[in-house]
Amino acid sequence: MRLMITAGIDVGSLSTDAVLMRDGETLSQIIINTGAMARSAAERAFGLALSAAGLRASDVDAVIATGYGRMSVSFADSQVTEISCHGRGSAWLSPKVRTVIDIGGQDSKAIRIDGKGNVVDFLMNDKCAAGTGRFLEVMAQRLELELAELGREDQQAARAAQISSMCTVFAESEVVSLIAQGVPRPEIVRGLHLSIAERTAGLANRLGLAPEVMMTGGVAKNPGVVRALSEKLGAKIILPPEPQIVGALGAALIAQQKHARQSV
Amino acid sequence: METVLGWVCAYTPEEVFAALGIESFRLCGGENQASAVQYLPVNLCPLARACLSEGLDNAGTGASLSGVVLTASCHALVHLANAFQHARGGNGQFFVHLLDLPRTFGREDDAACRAFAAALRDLAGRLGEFYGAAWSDEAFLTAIDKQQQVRLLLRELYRMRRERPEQFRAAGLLEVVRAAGRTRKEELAPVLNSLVASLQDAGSGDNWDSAQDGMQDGGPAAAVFLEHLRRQGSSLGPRLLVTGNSLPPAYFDLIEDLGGNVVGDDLCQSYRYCLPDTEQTLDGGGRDLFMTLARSYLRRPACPRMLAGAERFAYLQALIRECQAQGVVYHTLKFCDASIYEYALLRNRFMEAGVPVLYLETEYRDAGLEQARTRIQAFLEVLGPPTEKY
Amino acid sequence: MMDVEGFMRHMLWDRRRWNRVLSSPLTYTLLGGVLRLTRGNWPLDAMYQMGVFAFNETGRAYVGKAPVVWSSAFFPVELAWGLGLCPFSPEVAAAYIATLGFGEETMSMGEQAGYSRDICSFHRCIAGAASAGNLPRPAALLASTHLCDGAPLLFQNLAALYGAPLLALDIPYNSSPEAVRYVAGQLEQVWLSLADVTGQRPDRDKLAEAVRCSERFRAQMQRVNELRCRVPSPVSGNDMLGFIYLFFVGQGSREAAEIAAGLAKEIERRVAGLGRSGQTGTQTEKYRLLWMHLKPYYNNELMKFVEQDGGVLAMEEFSHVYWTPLDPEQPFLSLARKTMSHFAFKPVTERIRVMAELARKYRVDGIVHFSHHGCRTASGGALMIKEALRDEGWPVLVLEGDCIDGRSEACGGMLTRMQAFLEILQERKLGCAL
Repeated sequence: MRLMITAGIDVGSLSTDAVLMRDGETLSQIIINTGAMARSAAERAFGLALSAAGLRASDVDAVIATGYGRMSVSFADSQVTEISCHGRGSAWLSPKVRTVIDIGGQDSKAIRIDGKGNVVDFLMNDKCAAGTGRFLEVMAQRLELELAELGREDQQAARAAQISSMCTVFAESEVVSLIAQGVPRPEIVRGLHLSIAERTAGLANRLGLAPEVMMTGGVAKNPGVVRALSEKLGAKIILPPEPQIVGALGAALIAQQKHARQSV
Repeated sequence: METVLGWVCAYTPEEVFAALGIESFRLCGGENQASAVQYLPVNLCPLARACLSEGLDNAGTGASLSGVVLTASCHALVHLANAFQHARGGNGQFFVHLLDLPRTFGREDDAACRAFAAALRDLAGRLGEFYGAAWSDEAFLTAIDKQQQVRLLLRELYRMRRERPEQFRAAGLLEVVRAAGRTRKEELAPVLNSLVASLQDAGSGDNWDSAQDGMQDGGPAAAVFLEHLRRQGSSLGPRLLVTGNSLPPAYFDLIEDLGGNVVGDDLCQSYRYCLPDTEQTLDGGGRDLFMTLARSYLRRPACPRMLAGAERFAYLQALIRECQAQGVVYHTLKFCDASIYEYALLRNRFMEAGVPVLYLETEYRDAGLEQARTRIQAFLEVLGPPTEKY
Repeated sequence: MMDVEGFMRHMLWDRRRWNRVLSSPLTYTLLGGVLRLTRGNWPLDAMYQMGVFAFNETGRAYVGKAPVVWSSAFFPVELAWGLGLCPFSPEVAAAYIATLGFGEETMSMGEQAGYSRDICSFHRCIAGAASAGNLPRPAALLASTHLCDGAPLLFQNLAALYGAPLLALDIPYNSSPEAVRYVAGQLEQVWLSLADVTGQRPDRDKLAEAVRCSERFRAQMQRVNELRCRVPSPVSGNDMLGFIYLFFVGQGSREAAEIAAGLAKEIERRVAGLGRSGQTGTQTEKYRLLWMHLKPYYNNELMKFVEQDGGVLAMEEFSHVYWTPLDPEQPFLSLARKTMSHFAFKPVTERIRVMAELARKYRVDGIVHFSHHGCRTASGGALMIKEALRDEGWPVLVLEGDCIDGRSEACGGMLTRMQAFLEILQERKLGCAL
């Protein structure tokens, strides 16, 4: 029997990620910017993943799309929410994980999973941009920093500036007045990270925190947020090797299982 | 650790607690609303969320809560009671009671008074049973008396503040009233007495140091109150009345920092606390003390939740005249229906009456202070300097 | 399908003519005609019947054939029917305004009139429509305080706007014989005042007749609910949520009693396999849901999405008959007991208990609490309800949304939550992955 090949495509608001798998082994993984067109981003990411693995589209047995733009991926066999995908992907990476915290570009989620990676319960915050990747992006711009520089900046802070507002618009004006007061930039950055951590910890505590905790999504690459969140939660946080790819990975895994069941 | 009974709304009859010898503690909440996050959604009254956090964390009490008596005034307080029950009530060791508070609709309705009297009697029975305290009419009468004494003394502070707003810090007055809801009245009365006397002596001259010297018999508590009440800095702005619902202290300070003079308020953590008048109803109630108490609470000027819009507007207008206020700050807490809806009604009335109004919304925390600064400052600029003293 | 809403939208195209269109008898004659043409297309004939009833009553209110009284949800509107008045529910009107696609502009007018976006969107919509003069002028406004803080406050403001009296009920939270008498006394007072304001004779026989009709409605709806225990579900709960007009306005009218009886018969025939298409289930039923609170009435994919994914509303909180039989001989006491017995104006444990009971009775797979943004009563308890029901083993989704206001909603987010919840239900059913 030929080994099954599946693809998971996660079309997020900021990045689109693709993973190709063959029987539990990752063949390739790709992360690109989503840009304005979700559909073409998905096609591009899929194409890049195929060429990285040296495969053609016809070699792939099943494709599952997930993420905000999942409905626009016309070549996918089915669409599954990023909630189920992050759950499955995290469990596969580390079977002891029971709580997944995913901070994406547009929203943040706390997901409770069982030992098999099935979602038991979840909470999602998408009412406003506060506490998301988008929030950090806006603030980084205001501080004239690259998004990727925030973590390093945080490490230089002696203490955290007080940022009390949870609302992006208000927080931005607080940042402006902190800059005007001459508060050092690292301290402002740490203050922002603390405010995100506080909001996210609130979400996780509402769900009920069960160890072990894994953090996924682009913001997990920012060590400042991870440290602040870990302190707020009073729990160790496991990081995947590539936090941004977990949704696509989960989609590819679900595709394997689903396809295997259908072909029996 | 000492245990106390928590309460929130200014319609809560402390007299009943005192009559039973139960220590009570007014929950006011603070900046920290984090412990509420598991129980109450973010789109619910921030005061309720803050009070839940305060109660669950035993913050600032130095004592732990043995129960709460909340009024069924609005669904935020109904759910606050639910949350206390949910978080603490499991083993029957925590007292949770929602007291029915009839709406008056701006009428002097005897049926409503009777219903409230029945609810008070029921509360007394339940409290007595839970705390193992015996009821005595005599103790009740003493409690009513002491409470009235404290209210009159507090009103005296408000009267002086109205005349000399440049000397009184509004947030300090708020602190005194909050403290009144957390202290045995027989202990508080002499302190307030001494405070009032020395402030009267200090007169209109800016001579608070001599007031400080005259404080000996009030003890350290009076001195602390005095320190907090003392206002410094500019007072060249207009005279303002603050209404709506509980404005956090930092916002009072902000108004005063900008030169505004708070000459009066209609807030449940502040002046409204001093409003019930048992003296006037004591004779009319016959021997039924519960009916007396019910009348005194329901017949005082109504709060927005009472659905007495016309009566409230007339009362606020009288208050504006009495305080010679040049403008009104209407404060609403985010998600507080009673004040948000009322504002839509009153804003037109005030406009027709030519009274300038500033609408101020907060989340019961200092987060929006900087946004508020600009709004308040602009409002003060529009109103101009204070009118001549009367 | 010939579409009544489309016809209405067409008629109301020109905003400046709304008043003229709405107050013209011709409008309702035409609407009646369109409605008749659509009769065969309704999922249930009772829905068609309700449409006829609602349009007749709305016409009566706008054309001014009888004194109009506004009534807020859960006010015992039997009092108005018992005086031969024309009750009008502005809350149902707001839902219809949203269905027609005029919600956003109407709410904006309400916001301009001073109503914050943090309050209930039904009320912002009503305030907007009232300030534009688009609602039938009330002779009196009836509101009850128990399940909604906002409605009596809004009605107080609008009473001032229209110069009409607010007749409100103060409902105690704690039930006792004295409390029931206190409410019954108020009901009698409201009934007398209402007669006085509208120039009607307070006739106890007519009131008894209204209570009798209300009791028939109660009994028939209970029959409907018994029939709905069947698996698969004989009727779509999404359709059942369309009957709020009967619950909010109809109780006490002869029509509501008859429509409910017709509905019960119709479902009985379906259960017996004699329905139009000879089938019992209305669709492929994969997941049975208990639905709490209402749904989005503006143009929104949510309910379609649920049904497409095989979700069926097996039972709804709003369809539950929670009150005991009414006694026409004791109208005020009966109505007082009915009003006070609502499970959502009791400790939240009571709402939890009732929902768990319904979940068991209707053998649901999961529970959805649609948390209408401005509803303190329902949404305020949602987290505690979720925790308690989850501890009893029910999967629960607290779905934050809004019934009327689509502007603040990240629609994708709502659908994602719903889909993820259905994925959980599927995992539970199959015992393994998706």
